[in-house]
Amino acid sequence: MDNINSTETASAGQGSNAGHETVSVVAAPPQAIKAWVSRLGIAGVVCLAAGFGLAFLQPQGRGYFFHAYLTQFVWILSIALGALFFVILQHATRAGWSVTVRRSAEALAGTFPLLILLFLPIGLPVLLGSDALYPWINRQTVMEDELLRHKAIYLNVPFFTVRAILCLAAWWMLARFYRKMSLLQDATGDPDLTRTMERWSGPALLLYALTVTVAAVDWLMSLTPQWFSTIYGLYYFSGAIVGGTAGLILLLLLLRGTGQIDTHLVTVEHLHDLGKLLFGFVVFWGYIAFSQYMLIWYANIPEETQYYVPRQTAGWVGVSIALILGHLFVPMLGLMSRAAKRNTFTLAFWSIWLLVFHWLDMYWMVMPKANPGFLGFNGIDVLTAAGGLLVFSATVLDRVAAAPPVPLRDPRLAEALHFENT
Amino acid sequence: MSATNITLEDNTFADPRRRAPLVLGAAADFQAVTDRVAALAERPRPPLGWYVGFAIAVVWMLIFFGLVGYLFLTGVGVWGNNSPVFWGFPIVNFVFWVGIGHAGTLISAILFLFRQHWRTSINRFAEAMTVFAVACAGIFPAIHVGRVWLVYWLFPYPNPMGMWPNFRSPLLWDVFAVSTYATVSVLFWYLGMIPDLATLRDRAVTPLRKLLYGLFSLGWTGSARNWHVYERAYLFLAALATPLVLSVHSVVSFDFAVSQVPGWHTTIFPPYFVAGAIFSGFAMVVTLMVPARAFFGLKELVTIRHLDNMNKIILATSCMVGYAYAVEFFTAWYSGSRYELFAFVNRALGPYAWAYWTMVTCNVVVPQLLWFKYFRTTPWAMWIIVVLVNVGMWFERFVIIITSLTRDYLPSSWGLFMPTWVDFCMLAGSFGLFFTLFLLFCRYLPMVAMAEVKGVLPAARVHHHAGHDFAASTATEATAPAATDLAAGDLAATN
Repeated sequence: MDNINSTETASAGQGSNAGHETVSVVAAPPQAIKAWVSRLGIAGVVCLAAGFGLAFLQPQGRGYFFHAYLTQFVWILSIALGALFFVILQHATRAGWSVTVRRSAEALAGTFPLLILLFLPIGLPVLLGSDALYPWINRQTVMEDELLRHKAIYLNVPFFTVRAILCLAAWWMLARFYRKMSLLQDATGDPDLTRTMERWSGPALLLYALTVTVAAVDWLMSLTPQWFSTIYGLYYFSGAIVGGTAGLILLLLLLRGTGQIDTHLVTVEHLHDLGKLLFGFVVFWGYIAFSQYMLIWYANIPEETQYYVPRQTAGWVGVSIALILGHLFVPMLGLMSRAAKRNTFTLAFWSIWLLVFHWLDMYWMVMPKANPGFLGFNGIDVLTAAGGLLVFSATVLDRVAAAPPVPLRDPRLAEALHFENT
Repeated sequence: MSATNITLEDNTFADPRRRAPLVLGAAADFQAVTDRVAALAERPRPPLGWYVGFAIAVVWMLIFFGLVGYLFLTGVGVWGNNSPVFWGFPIVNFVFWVGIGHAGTLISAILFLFRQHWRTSINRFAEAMTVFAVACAGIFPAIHVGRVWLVYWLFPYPNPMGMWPNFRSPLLWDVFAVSTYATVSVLFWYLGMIPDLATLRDRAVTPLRKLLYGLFSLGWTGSARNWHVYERAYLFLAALATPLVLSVHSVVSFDFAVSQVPGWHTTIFPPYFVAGAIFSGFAMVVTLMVPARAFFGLKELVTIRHLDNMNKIILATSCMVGYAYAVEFFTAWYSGSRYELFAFVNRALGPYAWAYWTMVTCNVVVPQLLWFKYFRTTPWAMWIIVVLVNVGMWFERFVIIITSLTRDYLPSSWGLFMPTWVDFCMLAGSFGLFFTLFLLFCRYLPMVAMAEVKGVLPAARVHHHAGHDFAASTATEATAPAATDLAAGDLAATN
């Protein structure tokens, strides 16, 4: 990692027209990134610590802190999961257009070591028997509730821990596998590595679907342990692909803007396509959210409506309406036109917008018990969210600095360089 | 018009350095595509096999319409529908056929937006299948209303009775969803066919053909302006049809899911039904395509790679359906609702357990064979699998509708369902209607989208990049060595 001011040249095409085909990247020295890694990382840790400190100054602040912490955790986790899905999907579909943006998605998905670390403040209290988050950990509560007694075979500390370890390990392993293979290909140029990644993409997607569902049920749905919804895993997934795509767009815009990625490698065509995906995923989230809400509202059975009633009470009405508008209709209209997706400013705006509303969606899922009636945001909410995002960003930049900005010798690199929306 | 016995190039390779050709052998030429496809519609006489198939299909179609007449004269008692199973075979068949009708729009809209060029060889075929499947589907709820002479009451029209349909009922939403879907599918199918109809018009030798193809090609001249307008319209229709792919079967799922019947009321139903519809639709495309490409000599246009790709989609959607089965079963237990759990245990172990296990075997277990390339690329093997998927998806609707209705909350109102001979004959008859329409399509209309296939031939890849795009596509293999030295230097630096 020393003194590199290298000019990487990813060349695609034959010698005869090399003048047109060759694009060169003058990468800024990774030290500049490295410096930001430590700055952002320290700022993030300070924010998280300040949030934790603030919890002691407030009545019932401890329970509130854990909920706010879970909110930010499932938020940044979903960005990494969305990016991981993107990476696997590119291999499953043998995509050519996305080769130059894939490395950035790999960087976002390369954050699982951090996420495993950040899971500890959620997992350790569970192991120690604290019911600050999950009521089903409290034996007394379980004994008094017939439903919770029924579910105790599934909702118990040892099994919960095993499942959490399996989920986190699976994601870490998948992200590591795809990043390692891709980096290995930079070194060897072996097209068989692409073949290997493609061959495992099917089973990888199966494992992904299973683990994301389990995690969503365990970490989020079991906050209201009496409640159930079969679409819940899909709901979390649909938010994750919005967050992952928005995160990927922002990372690419940042790297382009700072000269880390040449604008000939990630062109406006790639951004346009990612914008289309973002638009599609926003609508998909709306579809899943509507399906869940409409069916529960229509049947109007108390055991199901118990989830929505607190979210339709007092201040939460505003949050719910804000979600419908801000997570669906407004960005849907905003991202609809071709121009909005090809303009870096508007694309960045809607990506940030959606990350914020995606956080609000996580907040809406986690917080109603800690913040009944929603009396506004707490300093703890802001500090945990900022802290989580900062340490996450630091880790992403660390991943970015550790590798070339695009897969240098992917056999389909030329396709990505020549890609145009027609 | 028998299958040509030449050995075709294997285009199912997975070498990432080059893209597989989509059209093989002698057919990979503009003129050859036109000749190959148009010849099928221009033959003075179709082969004997077509007549045999058509005769069988027409007989069953006539049986179907005869039974519809018998139903109208006698009443819905001719079916096995009873109390508590008010929705018997007709609704099973309705959902089955609507589901089949999903592949067409998926291929023409979603795969179009995803730039899946291989869709060009199969989209016409799949869209036709969609239109005919939706036609079969639409008949069942219409004849299921009992007083069929009042079926127009389904539509909200201004009337002196002051009566309106119940807008809160998903059955009414179905009327809108399915009719919108049918309209858009027909439009899409027809719009895409206009350039090809014009080709048939220009090649027509008999006055009648000239007149009819001329009439339906709407004065297409093939000018740049025509193509410009056409491609804009196609893109817009694709964008509009994409939400329809999700919405139609979601609304069909609401028919069940908004109720409180155990096994019906569950939030995953909309996406689960959509996945199942795409699953069954693609299975039907492959079911029809495997014999059709052999029979009509289309193996170079609809290659093994096309089948391979469709089989991958079938495998993916099979896994989604399996996921939904698993999540439903788990949540039935997790919910702690004894009725919900009973509904699922009753499916697996009750009087219709055989139907449930047929469903699971055909929809989840058997398609797992498609993980192996052999089964994805061997026509007879995949054909057996996809036929079983069709069976399984029919049984899925049977299981959902029948088992939940036979035993719900109140044991005193339990009852069994027994289909009658009319039920079976109408199911078979709906296939007769479907195949009658389909064989007519194969006889008179261009089965493959000629204009679109030509657009993905290598010779067509010469647009504004003036040559070098084409050079790049052939030069892909040369890419890797060129990048090697610089990349190696960089990597040494980063490590």
